[in-house]
This record gives sequence, C-alpha cells and structure tokens, in this order.
Amino acid sequence: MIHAGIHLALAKKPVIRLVAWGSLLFAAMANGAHSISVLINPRYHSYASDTLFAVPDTVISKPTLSSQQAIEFTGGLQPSSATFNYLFSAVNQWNDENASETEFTVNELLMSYGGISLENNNWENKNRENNSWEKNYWELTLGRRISSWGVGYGFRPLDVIQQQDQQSTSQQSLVGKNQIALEHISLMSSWSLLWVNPFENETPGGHQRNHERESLVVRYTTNGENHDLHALLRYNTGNRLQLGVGGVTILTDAIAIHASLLLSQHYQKQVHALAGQNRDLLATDEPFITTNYHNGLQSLIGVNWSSASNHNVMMEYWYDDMAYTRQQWKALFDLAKNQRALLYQELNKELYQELDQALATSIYGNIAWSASALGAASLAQHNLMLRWNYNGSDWTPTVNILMSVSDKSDVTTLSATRRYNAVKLEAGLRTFNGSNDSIYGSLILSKIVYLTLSSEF
Amino acid sequence: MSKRLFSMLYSIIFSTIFSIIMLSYANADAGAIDANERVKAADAYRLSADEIMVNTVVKRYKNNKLDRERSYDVYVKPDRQSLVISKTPSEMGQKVLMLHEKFWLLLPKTKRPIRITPLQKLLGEASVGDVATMKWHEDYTAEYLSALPDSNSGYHELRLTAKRNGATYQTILLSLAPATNIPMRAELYLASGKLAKIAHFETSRKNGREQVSKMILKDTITVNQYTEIEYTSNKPYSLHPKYFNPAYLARNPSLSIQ
Repeated sequence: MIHAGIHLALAKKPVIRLVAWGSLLFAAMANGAHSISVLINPRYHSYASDTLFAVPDTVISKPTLSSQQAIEFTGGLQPSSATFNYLFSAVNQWNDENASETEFTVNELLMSYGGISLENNNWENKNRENNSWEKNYWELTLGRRISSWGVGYGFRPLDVIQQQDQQSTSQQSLVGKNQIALEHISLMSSWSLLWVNPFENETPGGHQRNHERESLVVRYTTNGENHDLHALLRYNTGNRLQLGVGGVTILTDAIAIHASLLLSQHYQKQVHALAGQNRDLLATDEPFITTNYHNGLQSLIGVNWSSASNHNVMMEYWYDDMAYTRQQWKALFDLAKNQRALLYQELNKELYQELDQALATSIYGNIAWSASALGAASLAQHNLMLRWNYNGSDWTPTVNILMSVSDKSDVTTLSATRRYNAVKLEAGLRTFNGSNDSIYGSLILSKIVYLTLSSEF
Repeated sequence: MSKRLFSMLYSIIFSTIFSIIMLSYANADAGAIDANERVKAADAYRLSADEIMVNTVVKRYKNNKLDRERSYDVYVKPDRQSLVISKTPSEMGQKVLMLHEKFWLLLPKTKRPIRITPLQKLLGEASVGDVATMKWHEDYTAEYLSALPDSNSGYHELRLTAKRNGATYQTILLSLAPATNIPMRAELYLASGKLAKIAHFETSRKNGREQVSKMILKDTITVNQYTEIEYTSNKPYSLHPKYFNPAYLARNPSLSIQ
C-alpha cells in the first residue's frame, strides 16, 4: 500500500499527483502529530571565465540568480502498535536562465511495528512497568526512510546508505531509501538488519551510485559512559563486502574526538576514457567509463573543542579512496588543456575565416564532459576541514574552510545565522580558491552569495 | 564537707561540658542529614513528581525589554534523565537528550544523534542545565553554610557541590526559605570557581500547591540583560523509556511525543 502511495504521489499526471497528495495529507493531518517547515534559499552565483573548464553559456548554463523554495510536511500517527511516519516536500527551483520547476517528493513514508516479544512465540506488547521492553524491544519497519549514519561533519564514511552532501547550502531534507528493516533496541544499544533498495536492479552499463544499490546491511550502535560506537557490515553487488567502524569519545567537558573507517572490497570510479593520453582528444559519446578497484579505504578523524565563552572549533582530516588520485586529476586537467589548445589552434588557423561551429561545439562539449568529473560526491582524496563558530546572543558567525591537501585549493564559507522567534536567517558567502589546475580552482563557479530563511510550525 | 561539695561541683561541670559536646555532635549529624533533606524538599517545589512533563518558556530581556522568547517541552525521568524538545518555530524539533552526564543533540533535518560535550549543550541564552536540571538532590551534595536561627539572611544558606564532573554548575550557593524550604536565591558557579549566574525564584499556587513558577537568571558579565525561565505548566507524565535511547530518538524527530 505504501509502495502504491509513493507511485501515486510521483505520478506524471498533475491531477493524480494532486489527489494523491491531498489524500495523504488529509489522512495524516486528521490524526497524529505533524508539522510544516518552509525554506527560501536565494543565491547569487559568480563564475570564473579563465578556468580550464570554462565554456559558453550555451554549453553549460550559468545562471546568475537562482532560488529554491521548499515546503515540507512531516509527522506521524500511531493508531495502535504500528507507527506511520511521513515527510513530503514540494521544491520549486527557479533561476534566470531556465523555466521554473517544481518537484513533489516523498522523502519518507514508512510504517513501523514495534514492541514485539518473541518469547514463547507470543506476539504481544510487553508491559513497560517491569521494563522488560529494554530486553525485548523489536521494531519492524518498511517503506522509505532517511537513514543518515556515522560520525563527523565534513565527511561520514559510515553514511553508506544516504550520502548527505555536507557542503550544500540548502537545508532540505534528504530523500530516504526504500527499505525493510528489523531492529532490536535495548537500553543503550541497537542492532539493525536492513534490506535497502529492494528489487533495485543495476542498469547494465549504467553509473549507479553506491547508495542507490540494493544492499543488505547489519548495523550496531552502543552508547557508553564517554563514548558512542558504531559498526556496520554491508553487502551489495558493486562493493561486495564493506566493513565500517566509528565512534565519538568525550575526553573532557570541552573536547571530543571522533573517527571512522570504512573498508570496501570493491569500489568504482568514473574515469575519462581519453585522460592520460594526447592522441585522441575528442569523444563522440559519453566518455566516462566505470572502472573497478579493490580494497578501498575511507577514513576520518576529527576533534571538536568548545569553550565556556561559546566558541566552538572543529578540525577534521579525511581520506577517500573513491575520489580521483592526484595523477587522475592531472590526467584530466592535461586533457582539458589539450582540448582548449585545440580550440585556440582552430581559432588561429588562417585558412578559416570563421571558426567551424560544429568543431567548436564538439570541443566545448568535450570540455563540459571533462568538467562533469567535478560533480562527483568525493573530489579529493586527502581533505582537511577547519570550522569555527561562535554562539553569540544574537548572531552565530561561522567560518568553514575545506582544503584539498594535495593541491592546496579550498572552499571557504563565511556565514552568520540569526534566530528570531519564528524564523531562522542565515547569510553566507562561499568562494572557491586555487590555481587553474587544482580541484577547487578549476571549478567554473567562483563565488556564491546566499540567504536561507526557514521556519517550522 | 567542702570535699564533697567540690566533688559535686566537678561532677556538675563535667556533666554539663559533656552534654554540650554531645549535643553539638547530635546537632551536627542532624544538620548534615537535614541539608540534603532540605534540598530534596526544595526540589519538590520545582518538580512535583518523579516523572513529569514541564512546558517551559525562556525569555531574554535586554534593558528590561523582551528581546527573545523560546519554548520547550521538558520530559524528566528519575536518575537524571531529561529530554528537552524545542517548540520555537525557528528551531522546531531540535532535541537535547540528557542521560546522567551524557548529552546528545538531535537536529530536525538529520536522522542521527550527535554526541556533544557538556560545554556544547547550549540552548541559546539558557543552557540545557538551566532548563532541564530540576533535581539538585540527585546531582549535588549539600552542606550548611548557615542555618536558622543563626543565619543573618533569614534563610537557610547551603552550599551544593556537584557529585560528578559534567554538571552545568560545579557549586551552587542556595538560599531556602525558613520552614517551607522554598528556593529563594542561588549563586551558580562554574568549575573554574567563577560566578556565572545568580538565580531568583518566584512561586505561585498551581494544582493546589505552591510551586516554583519562574527562575530569573542574571548573567554576571552582561549587566543589562537577564533571562526568565518560566514553567508555564506541568503534569505527571511517564514517557516511554525508548525515547531516552539516542538511536530510537533519531528515527522520528518530528513526531510529537505520545
């Protein structure tokens, strides 16, 4: 029924979507607890014209002004032992280059049935007065659920299902993953067995992302006196086995350290077929091919310090095998340089009065293809993040610097947040800095100025 | 005759001195017990039941004008367990879970609990400890500084020392009203020994009994600013223990507690 509801809510015909949304909302709001959150996120973008991947607006759209508006409905009801939770969102994207688009999403829609005792094959709720639930609390969940795991701020290796983008300026909720989960919760620990993305078939030759794959996961968490520990074991056809551990330790009233590690039997990268050679510079089809690797490592270590005077400083270092190596980036940058040189060579040829438009389009298109590597979830293998914020009585200023250690390029974000009674306002400036053949320096985007207004009722 | 008289005199003097010494010990024992019992009695004006839900409003005043207001639902269970849920629209759904000296922050958009240090457990101008700690007798050991009728202030004056690290305030100097033990005033000191805040308490009659209705916190650094923590309503409420498990709490942060 939930699967059918999700399909109706995502139906192509607007009338069907409207009826499905209206029915879902009415059913949810008629009983149970619910809330509505609103978010407005206007942005100003500035672009660099001299990067390796700079191309005309006709090839890659470069809007100057954009805005994202989102409204989210979230809540749940508990008619009996079962609990139903939902999170729906309507997101409108607007920019000065393209027509406005609105998307309706079912972020979460799940049913949980808990309090089941398996003693004596007797399925009945336990009497909480004798605290026996603490030993026997089981919960079965099915539907779509946001499952964000692990420790860390800039990067979370154990976030194997959800993969939240930590650098996003938008505060939208993630879209959950379809799953069937059986979980055991005791006083300070939990065990979970999950079947995620069930029946999700891998598209032959497709570029299915890691977190979109059908997978089985076993997960364990425990909360100790001064520490939290997480462990997981995951199996899917792309990575085979993945083993992860992580934790947080509170060292003093002011200092906490966190670390995590994920080992993957296999992993994949999208590698440009023409990078690393200079004979063939122009592809006629999608040039990225899925390349398999073995024994991947993703690791993170971080420290957080807080003062009684409301300053908070965090430092994290992480390594990600799934990002391009320095050599792979160099190969891609060299390819882009050679493609650009080909363009200038054609421009300078005296035999041509005008540039062959078809050739120019092909060259620019190939440069744009190369630039798409910068859209990967992980860009740099070695990363260092420094973050400071001050919890002032009115404003909370924040400075966040994310650096690619190998080429010293960085993303710097300055922001300030203010909470009024009903509204939270955040204003920020993000710049991308580095040389032309560095990861963040080669981005087409050079600067973003943004505002975020949010509230919940 | 004089020998017998002196013998009697020495016996009387010795007995008197002995009695005074024994009485002073007896009073001292009773004072030590009474101090902690007095604090427990004072807690009863802040928490009318072991498991309770308190609607709390935190108001900040600048230059005697209301500057900001935030609302919380605070669920308290025995053994130093508290769950603070924000009801203010700008931070709706934000939760801080306190289990003894362990703290977790749950932000509305994330679905994972974030373990935080004691110093990170801030809720704006009032710390989580200010909002959620309502049982001094569980967190502090009490001793008399001065007790009535000897106290010059007209109140019982007690020193409360935190039993463990991680308490919001390491030392509290507490003034309790005579006879009723209603908390009147408290000086709140950090582990460094620095005086952080001074609290005054107001009471009102609710549900047929006198209860603390407001705690007014004055910061010792910012002189033109003070914070009011108002307990607008409370009711006995036994929240299911599963909500005090960080792993479970992260699953449905937007769902009102039932």
